[in-house]
Amino acid sequence: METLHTVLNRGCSIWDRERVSEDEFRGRLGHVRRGMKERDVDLLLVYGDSRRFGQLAFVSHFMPKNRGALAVIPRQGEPALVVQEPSRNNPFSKTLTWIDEVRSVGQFAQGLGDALKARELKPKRVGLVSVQEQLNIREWNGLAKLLDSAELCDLSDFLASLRLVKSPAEQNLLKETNRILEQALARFEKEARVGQKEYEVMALVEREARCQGVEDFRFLIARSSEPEVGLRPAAPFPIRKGEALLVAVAASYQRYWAELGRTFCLGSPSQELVRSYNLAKGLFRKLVDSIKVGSSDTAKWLLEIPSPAVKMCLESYGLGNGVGLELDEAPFLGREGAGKIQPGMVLTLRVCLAGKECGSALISQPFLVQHDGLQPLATPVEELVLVES
Amino acid sequence: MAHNQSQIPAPVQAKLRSLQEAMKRDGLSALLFYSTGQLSMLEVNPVLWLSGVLPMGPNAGVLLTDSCDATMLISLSWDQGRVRRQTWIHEVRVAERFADAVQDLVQQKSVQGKVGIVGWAFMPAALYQSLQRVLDGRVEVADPILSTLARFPGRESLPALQRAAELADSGFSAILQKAKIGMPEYELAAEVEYAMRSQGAEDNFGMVTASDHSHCTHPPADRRIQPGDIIIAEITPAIEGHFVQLCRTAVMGPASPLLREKFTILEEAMEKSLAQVRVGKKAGAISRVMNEVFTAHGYEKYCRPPYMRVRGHGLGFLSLPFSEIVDENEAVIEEGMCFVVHPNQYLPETGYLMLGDTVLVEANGPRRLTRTPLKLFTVED
Repeated sequence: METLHTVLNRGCSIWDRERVSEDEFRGRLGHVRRGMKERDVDLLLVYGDSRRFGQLAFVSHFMPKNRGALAVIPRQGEPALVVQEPSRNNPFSKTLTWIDEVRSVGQFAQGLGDALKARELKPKRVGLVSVQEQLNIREWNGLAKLLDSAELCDLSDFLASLRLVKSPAEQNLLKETNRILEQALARFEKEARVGQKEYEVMALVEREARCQGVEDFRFLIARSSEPEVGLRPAAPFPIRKGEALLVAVAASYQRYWAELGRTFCLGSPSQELVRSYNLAKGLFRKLVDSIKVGSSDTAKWLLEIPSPAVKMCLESYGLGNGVGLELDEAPFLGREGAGKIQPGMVLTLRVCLAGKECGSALISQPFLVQHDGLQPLATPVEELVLVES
Repeated sequence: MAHNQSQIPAPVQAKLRSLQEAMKRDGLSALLFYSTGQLSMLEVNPVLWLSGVLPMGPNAGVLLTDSCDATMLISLSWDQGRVRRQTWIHEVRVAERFADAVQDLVQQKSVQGKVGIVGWAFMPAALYQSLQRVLDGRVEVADPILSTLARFPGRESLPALQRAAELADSGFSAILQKAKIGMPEYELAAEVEYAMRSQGAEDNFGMVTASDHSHCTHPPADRRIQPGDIIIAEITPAIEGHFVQLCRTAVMGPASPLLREKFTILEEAMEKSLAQVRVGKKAGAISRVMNEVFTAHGYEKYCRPPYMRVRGHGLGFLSLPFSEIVDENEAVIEEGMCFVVHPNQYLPETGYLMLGDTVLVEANGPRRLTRTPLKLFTVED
């Protein structure tokens, strides 16, 4: 699920080699190069920016802190990383990636040009991943000029396909991110008080997550008292007794993301709120049941929902998606062309009802797809979370 | 104008008038204010500036015709409620395919001539190429219009700027209160973040680094704070879209005579550069005087890359007087401008040290917005 971007990735910024080794990346490089060979591509460029860097992190583990970076992968020899940043940041950037050659530049064309020159490489066919979709037009014009004698092809889908099924190391990282996030979200239940401003309790949850080493943290809230407004950043509005508070949190740890969504109520919930939550609970169970290895149509059950408002809300927020190096990545459940569910995928499943005609409830949980079913990666929370007021 | 004037806040009405004049002057039939979801503290966010809403999702825009008819385009259907609550713009549409949505809108609004893109510099290449195609090449770069109009935060922004400054002070205080030997860097950064977020900071361009010798400031790592470490902090909270930056240095334990001696150079550079912040002077003078101070103390080599880049800059999201304070900056300082002045400096004997403040230019000189003293701090464990 999308959230509000932050101007700087400012949490714990390291490469934990014990959790994700250089061997893991070299293995990925092997797969990438096989794909390049099959497609007769002699150079692959993979771009990421501070908002979206999953493809880049997959090949480099690098996390741009506030601008962007470009991985340069020739068919043979070592890759390079070109980072748009002041040169004095170079030593720190090197600590965030397994790639030795890190070039800190003002403009990408300069860095790429130098990297190609160092390799005496004049590529004939260049594969692009997330380059034109994310790199701004000014920088792209520079790159295009540099590569004007090469044929360009988009390989974003190819790289995305390599990311669908998570390796054991990735699964472990995702479990860890979920553990941290669960612990942080438990703070909401512990600390929320009537009269407290939304951002006050958000800050407590965020601190918990950041003190455990997350790189980035996101928080969205929606309230049953304002059904016309959906999930949004925390505001100075005081928390009130008896209303539903839909809280969606997300965090990344060693580049791997997790999303959790819960519904809280301070004090006793109204009958309407309980009804709304029970509806969401039932829908969530249907959603979980629909996720089977080999299935691709995971939203057929939506047709059985009689309420157009509920259906629209579910479709708007999405029933869920893959989660890994991006908070929302393939497969996007319920969307055309989502592809088959495979063992090893990690999914966020989500039921969000936020609106006058569909009530207020949020359940969002992560699962690892296994051959024999779904394994929850966070403690399943079936019930509305009642907070003593 | 197409909207009910009485429902549009006065500052927005003034913007609309200026934009209408700019379109007439530049021969444009419409302006497309554009933002990706990637936010930058060093830029004016075009969509926020006009619509009053910080964009969420991959693409957001406002199409404004030359008759000041405005339509907002957003990516996320579930975000409509927040957007409608915050913006003065009545017509808000969800655009799954942004370029196509712009094309439809341009046709519906009978925009016949050129469309200026405000936010072109950060527009993804693929989107720009699509817009060129769907609008038959009738697209022009219009970023300079916003650069000209958004140079000042405006008097109405002073309470927000002041509040952000108070939060920056709180953030630095948290370092003095919370820094402990053995604490990982990221935990200290989390405390700084908490100190500000718990008081309403909407975002923070914040870096906290603790080392015996830093080469620059960077996001925190997992190094544990040790006695004698120099903690450098760049703290930049935002309130209502306005960022205020504070740069300071603290040392764990007593400061060595060497450190004190070297820090006085930064203090001298700060004092002399603030004396250059005067209406009518050029921004480059601020940088030049800082470099003169460091050069006089034998650090000329360290005033250039890879050690140094800029000596200050504007702060987004809602105004930017000029981009960077470097020697060559010929921009004239005017009353009402707001920017950060920071003689942060790498010195070979101590590593990177930081000192800097955000100032508001007044008729008789700069007003520092924060209250944290301009000095070297020590933390007693």
